[in-house]
Amino acid sequence: MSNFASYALWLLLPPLQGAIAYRMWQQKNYRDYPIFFAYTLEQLARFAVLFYWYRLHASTTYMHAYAAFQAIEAILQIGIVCELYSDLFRPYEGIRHFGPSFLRWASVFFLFLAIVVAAYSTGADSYKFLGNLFAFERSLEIVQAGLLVVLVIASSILALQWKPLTLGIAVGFGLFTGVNLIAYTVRFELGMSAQHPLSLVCNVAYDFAVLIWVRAFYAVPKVVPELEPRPADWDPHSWNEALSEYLHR
Amino acid sequence: MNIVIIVVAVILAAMLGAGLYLVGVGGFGRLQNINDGKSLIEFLDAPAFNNLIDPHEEEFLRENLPPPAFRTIQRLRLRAAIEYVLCANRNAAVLIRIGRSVNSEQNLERSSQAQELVNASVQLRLLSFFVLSLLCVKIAFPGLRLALSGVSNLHERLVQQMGTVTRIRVF
Repeated sequence: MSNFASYALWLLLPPLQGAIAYRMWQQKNYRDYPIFFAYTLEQLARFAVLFYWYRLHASTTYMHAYAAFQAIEAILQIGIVCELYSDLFRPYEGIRHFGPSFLRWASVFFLFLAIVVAAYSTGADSYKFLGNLFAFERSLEIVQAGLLVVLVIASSILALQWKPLTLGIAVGFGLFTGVNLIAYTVRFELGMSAQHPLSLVCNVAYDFAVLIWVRAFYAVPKVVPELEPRPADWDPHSWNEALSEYLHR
Repeated sequence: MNIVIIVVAVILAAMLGAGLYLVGVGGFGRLQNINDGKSLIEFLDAPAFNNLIDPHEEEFLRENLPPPAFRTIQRLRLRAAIEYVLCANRNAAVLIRIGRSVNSEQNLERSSQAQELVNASVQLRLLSFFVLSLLCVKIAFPGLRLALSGVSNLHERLVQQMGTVTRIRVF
């Protein structure tokens, strides 16, 4: 039953991600989100290659292909986080340079945290390849989750506006990053016994994330109503008067 | 050690989930009416604020009060200063909302002024965050001398930013 569910969740992804790629191409969103577009295409290629080896029951080749795709995916996922930072800070000229600074310092901190976590933990896997793979996955999720948390905090402190698409990408990305972080940590500690249920949880989370992205890309943009005409007596007096007095004294 | 790692992972994931949820549902909406913004703007007495963090005032109090009394009074003054900075911070958020709402209109000139307003307000939010951090440090260590001049310098910049924001005629 668990295998059937995992299989179904896996097969659900290509049509959904194909729809996202098509929509991005059609709406030329790949200009604004080139790394996310590359990531979507990479996911389609990944499915094709891994599914092929899975059907052939070539477990060693499958495992190596999986590890190679994980490495590519890690780079693209960090790239997507950078894209989110850049997209959120770009419209604000005065603080545009803070985006890369936040990203740089947060990356250093969370990379350090990931290294410390990797150095001080002992996995339950007897098979070294799997142990290393899950340790790598967990470190990656720590860095990604940390960078997203810093981005959310920075945007809330500065009251930055999220574009609906950027928010959709971030929410989907945050959902599966958060779930994966917990799942990989637990998987690393418990070993093979926790493999199937956690794999199912991760697949469900990823499918939900893809559904969020589909919704974000296919949502009809809201028509923003125009503001009512200016009231004749409007002026930010209440705040301005004391300041003007101070500035001119 | 392993249980600590699990706890760290769960906390990080929970923070991420909560943060994205709040951004998604509780973000800054658009104003339907300018009067909404007007009613949200709070009065800020900038000279009083400047007096609260004036280094000369602090020096005067330091010289004329016994140290325990000075620390108590200084903490009260800094708490009051924090209220002022929070007020400026909230006003900047309202101005950002006003700027964004105007941005959605078709008038190019207004839109450019509104963008300027939004940029200045976001800078003000950033500056007030730094000032708040310094004020919190100062409350913890009221005897610190160096931090006060830092606050004062930042305040000068903050007031300049506020002046820029409020001088822009959007409407």
